[in-house]
Amino acid sequence: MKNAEMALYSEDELDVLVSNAIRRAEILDELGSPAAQDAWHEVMVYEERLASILEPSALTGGIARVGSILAAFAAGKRDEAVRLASRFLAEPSLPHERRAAIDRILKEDQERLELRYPALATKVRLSELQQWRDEAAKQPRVFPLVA
Amino acid sequence: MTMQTVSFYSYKGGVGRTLLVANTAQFLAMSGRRVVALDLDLEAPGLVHKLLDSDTINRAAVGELRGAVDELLDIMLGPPTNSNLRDSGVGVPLPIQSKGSLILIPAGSAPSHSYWAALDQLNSTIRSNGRNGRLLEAVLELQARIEKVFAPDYLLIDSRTGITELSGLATSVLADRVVCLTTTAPESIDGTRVVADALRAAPRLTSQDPVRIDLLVTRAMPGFPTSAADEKLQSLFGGSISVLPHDSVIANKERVLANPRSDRSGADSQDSALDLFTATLSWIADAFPTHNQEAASAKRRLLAIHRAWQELTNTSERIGTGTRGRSAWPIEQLKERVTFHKGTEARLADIVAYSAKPGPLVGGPLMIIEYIDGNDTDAAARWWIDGGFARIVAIIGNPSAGTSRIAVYSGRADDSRDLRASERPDFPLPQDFEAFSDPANVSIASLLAAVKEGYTDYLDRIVGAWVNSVFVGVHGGSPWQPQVALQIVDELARIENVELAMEVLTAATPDWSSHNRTKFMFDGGEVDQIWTDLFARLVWRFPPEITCRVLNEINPIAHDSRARRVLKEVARNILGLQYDPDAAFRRDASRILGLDDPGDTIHGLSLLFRHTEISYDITSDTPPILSSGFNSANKKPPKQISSLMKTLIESRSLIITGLLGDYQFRHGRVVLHREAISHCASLLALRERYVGSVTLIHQSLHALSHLGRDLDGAMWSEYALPVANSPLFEPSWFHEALTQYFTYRHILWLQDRELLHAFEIMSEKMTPPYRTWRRLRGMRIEDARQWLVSLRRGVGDSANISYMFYNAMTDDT
Repeated sequence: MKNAEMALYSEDELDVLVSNAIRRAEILDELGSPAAQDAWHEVMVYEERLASILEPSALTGGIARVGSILAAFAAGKRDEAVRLASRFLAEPSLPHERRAAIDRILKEDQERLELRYPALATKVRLSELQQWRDEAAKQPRVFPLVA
Repeated sequence: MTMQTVSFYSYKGGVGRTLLVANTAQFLAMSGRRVVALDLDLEAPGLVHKLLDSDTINRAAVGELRGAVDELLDIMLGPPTNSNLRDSGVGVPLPIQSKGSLILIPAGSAPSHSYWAALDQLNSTIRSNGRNGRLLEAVLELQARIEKVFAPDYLLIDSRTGITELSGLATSVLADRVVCLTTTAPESIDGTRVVADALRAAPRLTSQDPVRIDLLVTRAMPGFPTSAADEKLQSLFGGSISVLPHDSVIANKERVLANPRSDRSGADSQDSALDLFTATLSWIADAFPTHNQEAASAKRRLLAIHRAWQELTNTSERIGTGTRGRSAWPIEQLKERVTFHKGTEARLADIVAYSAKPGPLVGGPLMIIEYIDGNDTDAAARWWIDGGFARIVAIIGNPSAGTSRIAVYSGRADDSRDLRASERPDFPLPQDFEAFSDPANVSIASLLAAVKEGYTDYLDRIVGAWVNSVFVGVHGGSPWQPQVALQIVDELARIENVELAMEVLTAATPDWSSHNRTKFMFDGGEVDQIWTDLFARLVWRFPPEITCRVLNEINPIAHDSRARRVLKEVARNILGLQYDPDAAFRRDASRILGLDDPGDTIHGLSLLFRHTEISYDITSDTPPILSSGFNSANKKPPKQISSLMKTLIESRSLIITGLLGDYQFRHGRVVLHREAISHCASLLALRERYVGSVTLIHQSLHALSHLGRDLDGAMWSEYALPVANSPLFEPSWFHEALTQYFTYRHILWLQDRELLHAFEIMSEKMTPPYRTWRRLRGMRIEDARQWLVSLRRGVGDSANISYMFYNAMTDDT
């Protein structure tokens, strides 16, 4: 869905869409379906759209921001999640409790990664890998091919 | 020491990358380093084939091996705290003296179905799953776990070829150092250049130093880097390129230590393989400076095992300046690096040779080969023999440590497991285990026994032993051993099987025009001696059936057949005459054609005119003396041959000519009478073959006396022995006495005691002319020859020698 099309939806319509998308993604996750990640990606898109039309200080705006970051992680879009978190944390009017929620999400992800990559975590900061990945992606070279 | 990760990469396949990984890993491990080799060529894994034995490879084929794919899946999908890395590491056996260690983490159980399913799952996970991180995190975690679990000094990675995500990670973020291999092919050079440039520009983690890139050109043809293309390569990569030479076989059929192909021929390809191997080791030693002493030892070992493998599998061997085929060890009967256990002890055999069994599998170990860098070769051999692991142990020594290059040991045949050191300087081959009770024992007696069992491949070796025992100093100062030479001829002469005897003679034929000429690097004189002392002796000493077969050989092309050469030898050495059946023809033809030097064409034509060639026959026909209707002694009707023979022997009236054999001078034919010879042998308690040989020699000398040419080139054309089936037949006393003397001299020269014994027993029962030789033993052969010549010229009666012969005959009692 293009951004222009997305802009045609109202908040209420987006609420319906995101509720359905969350429901679908949760069911697919429970089933262990590979399609779950795509479903969470859809959730992320709606939540991000809601975040863009709602104020950070509004209750629904704060929920959409946190929800979009959670959905990005669930979709396996760690890069995107980090990008969203960085953007939302930069908003001055974001309430403290939302800010704390986003920090907690990032920390939990970091802990989960450290738990999965324990040997690596003792050697490098895992966040450094994202920087490396970003730099590699900028290289106009064939190597390394790291998506 | 912090773990150093070295990735081996090639843009294209077939450059020898995996082989280099395996060799480098081994070298470093044997040099005292702890090494882990990781196969990340997941789509085409091969490192397991280079480093592990067939049992492990078989485990992989049925899906029992864990590896990198399983580890990466566990890391990305498994329970976070679960690590089975130790289960994925397979210890590569190393020699006992090695201070280092080598662990291989294969790609997985390739090529089993379960491996490809796991690889497919890994690829799906990489594409879809980002919740738990991606391949970057996974490979770095695997690297970190390897460092934590195995604590190696070196992690060597066999990377995927081409441009892929995994090969990118293996070379950019995992590696401290990248070895880029390329051939001189343009596409390989271009691809390697692009990759090398990308690696130089690739980002590094903050904890990492800049990556080091080594460029290695493999399969370089002679002359590199003189061509324009090679200069381009130099300009692209700078001047620090290392080069490994090309070897056509290894290039395609690589293996860790050795070349597994048995289809090599000639010495050049062996040399190129050795060049490649030496260059590879030199590169490794330069690229990975390590403990000098251990590195030198590792290099010696790898080279020694490489050479040993080549020797074992080489299907040709060098003889003089040429080569010939031989039965080498089939590849499937050889294994490298096999560990044997004895109680709590374990020892690594560098190479094990197994017995063959039907089907693809092999039987039990026949020979164990181990390289010992020090001088405790006996102790090593004893360990193997005491364990009863194989019949033969070959220890490859380090000559600089004062040990011989190869020491072959065996246990006793009674399995008492006593160690016996052999003087054998080479590895036993498969056939040796069939032909010999103890393959380490290649004594003359053992070789002869094998030949008599039909293993004629050893004939060349026996002839070689004869040569070495006769020609002093020609072959590096081998001692003069006339008794050995005599033993060889004696044993060979006992052969009675016609076909086997013919093979013996073939092996003993020094032919100027074939490989035999180069076999022993002789000059003309030595070849003559082989003809005379080995070949000709054997021809006359073999049973008469064999002698006749050889002497009947006519070569329509070459005028000098083996038969003629043998007869020439006798004519010249015994009678002092020239035997040259074609001489008259050549002289006449040359005169007719006006040629000064009649060539082979005339020799070919001579077949049409040949009537002076001696031919041989063994017949069951009635001897002439019986078929004539008269007995020469009493002119009575013929008796049965057995009763006649008995009468003749009892009355000491036995004769050879006309009874046991005959020379039909009108046809140039020597005939042996089988039945008469058989009865004679039986009555005299002699072996038939010796009675036949005495008769054959006697009649041959009659023939040569007749057909041999004098100094003036003339034959004894008027030779007038009475025809044996004539009613008036009476053996010529002078002729028989003279021929018996020459027969005696000939048998004396043959050095055949049993033949001489038969001759003595036979002559004892013969008429006086046949016994005369005993009284003339001291007479110089030159005097006898002079008398022969005088007799041929019709002046014999006037010679003093005639008087001697006459007295010898008439004084005999």
